[in-house]
Order: sequence, then structure tokens, then C-alpha cells
Amino acid sequence: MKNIISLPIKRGEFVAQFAGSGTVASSTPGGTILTITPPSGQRVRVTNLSTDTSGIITNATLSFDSLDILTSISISGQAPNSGLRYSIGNYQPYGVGAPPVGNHKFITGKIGEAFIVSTTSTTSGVLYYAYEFGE
Amino acid sequence: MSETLSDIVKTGGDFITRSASGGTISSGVTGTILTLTPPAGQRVRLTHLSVTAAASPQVGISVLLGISTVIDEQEVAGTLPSGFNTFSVGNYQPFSSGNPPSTNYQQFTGKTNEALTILKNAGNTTVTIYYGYEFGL
Repeated sequence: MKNIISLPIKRGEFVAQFAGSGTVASSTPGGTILTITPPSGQRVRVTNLSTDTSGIITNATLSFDSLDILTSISISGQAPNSGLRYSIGNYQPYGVGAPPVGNHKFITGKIGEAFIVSTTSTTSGVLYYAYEFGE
Repeated sequence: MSETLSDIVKTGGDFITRSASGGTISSGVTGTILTLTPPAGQRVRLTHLSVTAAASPQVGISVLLGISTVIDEQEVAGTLPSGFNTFSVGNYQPFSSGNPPSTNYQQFTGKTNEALTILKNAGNTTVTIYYGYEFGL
């Protein structure tokens, strides 16, 4: 029998408790290039994942722990505009080509899940990211 | 009437992403032109719906979450989601003149197990429509 504690009362609106950001250097070898692990009992919300206007990170997979959210995609700062180009959060504007269909405002994991970016090849640009930890 | 615990729980709370994807809807189609059905126990979040900057808005588009008609026969715009009868979802290519993007919606999220359906109610689509979405808890 379920008791009240087992109900998903932690799935309310995200409450931020910390915000951070950083970069992953260009020429980082393939493998896990970024791991963002929330403190115990908290979730991670990725609010930006992008490159500069000329950069692109290819062959990338975005995951929460072992669950792949996006597989073998490119992270594109300026033009997240095709089925294989993605970014998270705001981006520098562009006005030509297809619309920014691969841009997501943010993505949020479960309590305790780490956000992971992995690649199968050496990165050729700087990866920018920002995140929040919260309940 | 006071809110019950089951009412609070079934609204779903904050969205937890489990997968993401997107695609295009070709020109020349009619009727139900897109159905996004979440995996059992998950919800769908429409993160993008628009056309290119160069294309004319696509008229006659409806967006349904389950049986709820969220958008009823409006025009999907690219650069200028502004004004009566025009809309887009998610980010758009920039424009800097005219009215503000008041009919641009950030995202549409359904209830658990609800499908999202996009309809072209009469006639064929005349442009390519771009969409992005997430499935999640």
C-alpha cells in the first residue's frame, strides 16, 4: 500500500538553489566531456548548451545517467536548425535557413540524475553550458 | 471546494525530460498531419512549431492535446508570430519591426498519456512545417 510519502510530491515546479556555468575546451578527446551531478536530493536543469557562432560539437550524445536523451547529434550555437542540430537555451540570432527547430528552452532530470555529454570524436570548438541545481 | 491530493498529483508537476526529437511535415498533406504519442506514463511537450522565415504562414492549423483544442485553425508563422490568427511555438528567427511576438508560445505540454495532434482542417499544406518535442514524466 502506498503511503503519502511515496507520492510524487517532489515533482512540483522547479525551485532553484544554485546556478553555475562553464566551458569545455576545444580539442577535448572523445568520451565523456561533461558531467553535471546535482547534490543529494536535488535535480539538475540544463539551461544552456551551445557553441559560439562558428563552432559545432559533432557526434554528441546527451544523457541523464544511462538514459540517452539525444544520440549522435551536433550541438550548434547559432543555428540549431535541423533534425541533427540542437542547442539548449538562448542562442545568438540568425535569420536565414530553416527555423530553430532543435532549440529547447531547458531540460530537467530526475532527483539525483547526472547530466552527461559524451562524444565519439575530439571536439573542434568550445562547448558552453549553464545549469541550475534545485528541488 | 477544496483541492484533493489526487487532483494535485494528476496535474503532473514539473516536466522531467526523457527523450527529445523533431522533424518536418511536408507540404501537400491534409487531415491529421502529425500525431505525437508519448510512451506509457509519460507526457508530450511541443517545443517548436514554425515555418521558415521566407515561407508564407501555413493557414488552417489546429493543435490538440488529447481532446482539448489548444489552437483552432490558425496560421503557423516563421519570423513574425504576431497578430490575430497567427502563432508559433518555441524560438523563432529574429525580426525587429512591426508588432511584438505576442502570439509566440514557449511550449505546449500535455497530461500523462495524452497525444498531441496537429490537424490541417481543409485543403493541403503549402509549406514545410518544422516541429520539435520532448517526451517526459
